[in-house]
Amino acid sequence: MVDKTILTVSNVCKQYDQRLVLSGVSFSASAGESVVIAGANGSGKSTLLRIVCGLTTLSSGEVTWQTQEGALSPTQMLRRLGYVSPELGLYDRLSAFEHLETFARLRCLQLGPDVLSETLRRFGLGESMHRAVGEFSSGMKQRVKLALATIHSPDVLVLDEPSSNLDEDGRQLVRELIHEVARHGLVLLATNEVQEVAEYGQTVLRLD
Amino acid sequence: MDKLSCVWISLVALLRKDFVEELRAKYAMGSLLMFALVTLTVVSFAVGAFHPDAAIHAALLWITVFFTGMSGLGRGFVKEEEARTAVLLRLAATPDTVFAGKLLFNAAVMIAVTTLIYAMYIVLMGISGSLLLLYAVMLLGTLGMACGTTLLAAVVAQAGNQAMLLPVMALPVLMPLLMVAVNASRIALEGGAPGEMLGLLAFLASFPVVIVAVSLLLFEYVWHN
Repeated sequence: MVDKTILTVSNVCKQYDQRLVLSGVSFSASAGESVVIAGANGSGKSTLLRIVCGLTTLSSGEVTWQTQEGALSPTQMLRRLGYVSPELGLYDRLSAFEHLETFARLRCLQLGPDVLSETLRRFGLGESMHRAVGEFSSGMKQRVKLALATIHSPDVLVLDEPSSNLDEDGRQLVRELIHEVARHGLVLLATNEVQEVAEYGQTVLRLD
Repeated sequence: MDKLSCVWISLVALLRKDFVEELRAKYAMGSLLMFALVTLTVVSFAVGAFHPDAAIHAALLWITVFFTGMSGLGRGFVKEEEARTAVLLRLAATPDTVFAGKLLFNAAVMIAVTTLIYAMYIVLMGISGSLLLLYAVMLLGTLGMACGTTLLAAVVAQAGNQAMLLPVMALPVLMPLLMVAVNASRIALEGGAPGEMLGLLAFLASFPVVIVAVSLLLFEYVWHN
């Protein structure tokens, strides 16, 4: 699937009640590319990412993922990608380690405690991996989300404001992840930060 | 690893997560146990002295079980949507695994609570009859309730977390089950033998199978829309 993944978004519209959030959005992207979706607050960046991931239905238009296994709908693609968003919650009473362990098993990955601990250390959570996530700062929670999104080494990484709440170390981590995945896969990134648009925006899609 | 082993590993992971969370937060068990305790206490004060017949006891038992179930069975999906963790599950687990995990969790919780209701009812109301048979009827009925409610709980969670919708939506689905369960419980309380209610027991045993089969067909649509 790796080097053949192509995303095609054709004339996508999304309407909530009477409010049109997205109107006729079209673009395509393929593996090895990073696409930045930029735009003002409320311009529909997060909605577009959710539609592309199959987490929100579209009002009209079409989204297809072309993989080596054929054309997949966003819903079929859902479990193959990594997704980070401010709208994603965590289980307050579980630790970061328990999160990673549970979601690795849900994905049927056989990762031992050493690998999980090492992953959490890479994400700067080595000291606090056994503390309940409910006690974490928002930056630490963002690191857990990033770890969860990349535990299965996805070929497609969908990031909605990935640097929000992160310190400089965390931002560097995001940079590394994006460059790592964009070498062989596809990165879709929604951001308002000018620096991120300039740094990652091989292709920039503006929603205004 | 083969597909069956994968499903099993995922299912155990989901169940383990739900039980660990439940042990730490006591979301479902706390509210269910309190509801059952209060209801049974009120029932015993209200009718305990009048020595009601088996039909009244059967009705009171199932009213308690039904509303206790409705007060907690919807929580599984509602709390995932409220905490915005449902998306995490959508990203990592197949819809079938999520449905099976939530169903098994609901069934385990309801069986535990029903066992408590059964024991408390015997103590508080001093009922007699074929009590083991009554327990079997209650377990089968409870299993049917858990199966019938799991899909509806997912629908309710998507509909703006309106937990009060659950009893309204569940009643028509569970009505045949409740009618049979009340009837079978009455026979058991009158001291009847299993042979006198084979048809009723067959219905109670097949209800969960039919409901789970239908739910598995519909759940993916509900889960993703």
